[in-house]
Amino acid sequence: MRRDFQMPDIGEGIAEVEIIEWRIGIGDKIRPDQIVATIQTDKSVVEMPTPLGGTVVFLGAEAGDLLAVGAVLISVETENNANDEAPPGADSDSPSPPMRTSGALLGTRDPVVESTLLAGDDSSIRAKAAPSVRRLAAERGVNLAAIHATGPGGRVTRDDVLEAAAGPASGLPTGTGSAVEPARSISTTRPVDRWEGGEDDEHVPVRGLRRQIAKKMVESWRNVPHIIDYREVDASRLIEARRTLREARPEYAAVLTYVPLLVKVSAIALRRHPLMNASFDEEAGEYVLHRRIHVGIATATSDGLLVPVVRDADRKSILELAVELGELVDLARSRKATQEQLTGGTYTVNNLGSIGASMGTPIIRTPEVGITGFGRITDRVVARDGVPVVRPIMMLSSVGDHRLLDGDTLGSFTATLVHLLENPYELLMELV
Amino acid sequence: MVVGEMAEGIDFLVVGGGPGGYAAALRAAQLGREVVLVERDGAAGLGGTCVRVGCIPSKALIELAETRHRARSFEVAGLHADSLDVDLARFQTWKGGIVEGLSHGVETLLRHERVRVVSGTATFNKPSRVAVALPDGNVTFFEFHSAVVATGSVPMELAVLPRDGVRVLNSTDVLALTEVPASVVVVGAGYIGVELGTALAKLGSHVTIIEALSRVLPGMEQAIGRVMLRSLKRLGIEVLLGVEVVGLNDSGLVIRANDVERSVDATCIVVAVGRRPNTREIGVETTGAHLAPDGTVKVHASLLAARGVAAIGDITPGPALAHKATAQAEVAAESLSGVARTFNPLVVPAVVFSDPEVATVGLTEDAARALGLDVMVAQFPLTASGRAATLGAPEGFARLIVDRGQDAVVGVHLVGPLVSELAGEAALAVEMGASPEDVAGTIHPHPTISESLHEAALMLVGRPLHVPASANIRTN
Repeated sequence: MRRDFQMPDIGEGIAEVEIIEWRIGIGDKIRPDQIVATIQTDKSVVEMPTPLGGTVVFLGAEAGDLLAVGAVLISVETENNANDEAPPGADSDSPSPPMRTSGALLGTRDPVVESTLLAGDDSSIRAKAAPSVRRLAAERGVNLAAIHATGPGGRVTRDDVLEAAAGPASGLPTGTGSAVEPARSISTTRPVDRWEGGEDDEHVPVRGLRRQIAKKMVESWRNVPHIIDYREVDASRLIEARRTLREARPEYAAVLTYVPLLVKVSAIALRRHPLMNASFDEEAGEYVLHRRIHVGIATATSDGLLVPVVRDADRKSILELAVELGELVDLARSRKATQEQLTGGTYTVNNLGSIGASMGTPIIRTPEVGITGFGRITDRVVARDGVPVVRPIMMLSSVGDHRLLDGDTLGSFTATLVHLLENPYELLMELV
Repeated sequence: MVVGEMAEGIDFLVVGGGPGGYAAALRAAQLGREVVLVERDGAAGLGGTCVRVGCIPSKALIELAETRHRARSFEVAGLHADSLDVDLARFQTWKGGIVEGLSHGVETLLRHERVRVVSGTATFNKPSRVAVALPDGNVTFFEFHSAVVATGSVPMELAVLPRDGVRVLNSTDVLALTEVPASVVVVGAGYIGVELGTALAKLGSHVTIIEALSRVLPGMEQAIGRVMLRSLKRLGIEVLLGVEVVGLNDSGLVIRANDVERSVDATCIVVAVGRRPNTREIGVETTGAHLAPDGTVKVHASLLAARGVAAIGDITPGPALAHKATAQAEVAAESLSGVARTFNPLVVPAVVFSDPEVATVGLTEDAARALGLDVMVAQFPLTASGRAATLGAPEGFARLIVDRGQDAVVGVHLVGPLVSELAGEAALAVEMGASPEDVAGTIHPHPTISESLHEAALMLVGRPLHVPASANIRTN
């Protein structure tokens, strides 16, 4: 008997996934829970198991292809026939077994076989939420029981669901996804801008991380009015500070780059200018001021840009930041960073100097409202006390979302950045 | 299997024209689907059991019986009604007009949404194909993209009491009676048996209700059963509990209680022991769906039973109630059209048009305790309700079951006049997770029966008004 396993909705609000690698082939005998493919979702790589056992007779896509959620991933020929006790739709709508992403358990899906009438024992059903909120949760694939309720008397509100759906770990799958018919118009039929090149050109499909970057950058560039404050920093004391630190702890010289200093300075400035450490939510008509300061650091990898995040950057020493950043950047470059390490930032630092640029205009990573690009330090002739002198100068470009920030609010934040970079000893006061 | 059958390709198939089927057809059409609805009785069957031989005609009969009964019971208040003769033949004409009007209304709605109604009996014979036996004896085939199965249920029969439509009747037969039988035995004290038995008694029959279990309205709060038992007896109905049916004899029914057989004389016997899902002959398993031992179709929370096939209404687990089917219809039509939906109500309210009426919403006290909730219960008696007094019906209560852990109402159980109309408010309270303070803080109009809900909530928050402090409140 032939059975299909459909690509389940794994709860990141994604409509399609990319098959990176098949771990099985046609004709292979597989057992239930065996990993059949490595797939790429938003920014994580997931090992996909199947509940089916039998001989593989069909693979739903070539490695490198995209597959819609709900489309058949694999088909197997089973030896024993229909089992009366099989859950409904075991043929085609199988619930998926636990799934692992980067070694961490992402979620278990329970098929809700029995009626949920009269308050069944499904924890999601028992969550305190109005019917409209429950409907929204089902639509967004959010498990009500797994999200933080902020409403009166512990009620889950509409905003709670929307936040969970937008966030990185959008609760656990509710078990609805796999049995919902895929939307018939899932593949985009929208005309795409296309480069009409010559015959010698190589056509490379935009996939995986590249696709994600393209999507997010377009979204930001289209929706966010960027304002940029360019300033010059006299980096004399910054250079001195870094040299001092390296000499004090030579064993950490490799990680004691300018980046931990830039992150620390940014975190302190963010603490003084809370409006910069915010998210803008146009749909809800509000902005959120974040109490905690999580700084992302733009990191070039061979596949594309990734932004690992240092949590509570304002509360860590420069040495702690240096060590953590070193690890995070390594993980990102080797594509081993977890979804958790790649999300949740409230502000982003972009070290343009590392690629040799003197100045740049970074794009805001929504829903954050700010990003700063730090350029390369170069000796320049500047005026000091009426005479030209040579000083190590760093250009920085501080970018803000004009929906929330104006020239003066962005400017005062940028002035703090410049002041701290020019007077790094003031960081001594920020030790915690 | 027919060789070489030619199938017409269609988009969205609905099997059954009842409250589940027609609602699914309408919703699917709104979503842009092209819908074919197959109904065994064609346009004449639209509205299904509910409109034609269930909810609607039974309420018509109950209304007739109730009006007669109330006219009599207001003698004490100065109403002298000389003749209260019942003409059931005339009633059938009146009822027929109501039923045809509603059924025609459904047909009009379907026509407006361009739903094609096909008269015939559908049988699935391939995963996405259905054979439809037409009234003229021909068979036509549809190959569908999506299908909703909503074939409903029929009254269950007892092997020892095969229905003949003359002496042994089912609920459908009772609703078509043109004369009031002199004496009736109703087998089954569930909501259908209680409703029909009450109506027949008020129309003048001598009624006996027998039940194998030890209480009336089994499955509901025990207190409801106790009130109902008293009320049935007050109407002159004999109620025999813990009784087994042996079979028929010349004068009526043979029953056995405590190993002693006896005969109960009756003009006719009404079997009301439940309903059986219509899944036996429709071949729904060929679509990949699975049937449970009780004959219902196993469904996922999205109501899909197999790829491209959803099942709703009486053929799915849970109570066989029209409003459940209608609610599921929307979910099924959307699930099949690419919308992520689940059928996940906290409650399916149930109402009984008995005397007094019953409305039951959410968990019973026992069920709440079994779930391990921190239960608190308050019961407000209708003897303290001004409106109940003017209705001449002070029997009954409003009972709230609260989970103190969540500070939310999880069950509402009402017995009394007009309480069927309060089931909606009660369901809203449970669905919204209302706390007792929410209900207590909502002004309820005076003088209405709805005040009883408010009063019960006041008891729970420690501010009782029309009952002594801490009367009838229970906790763990």
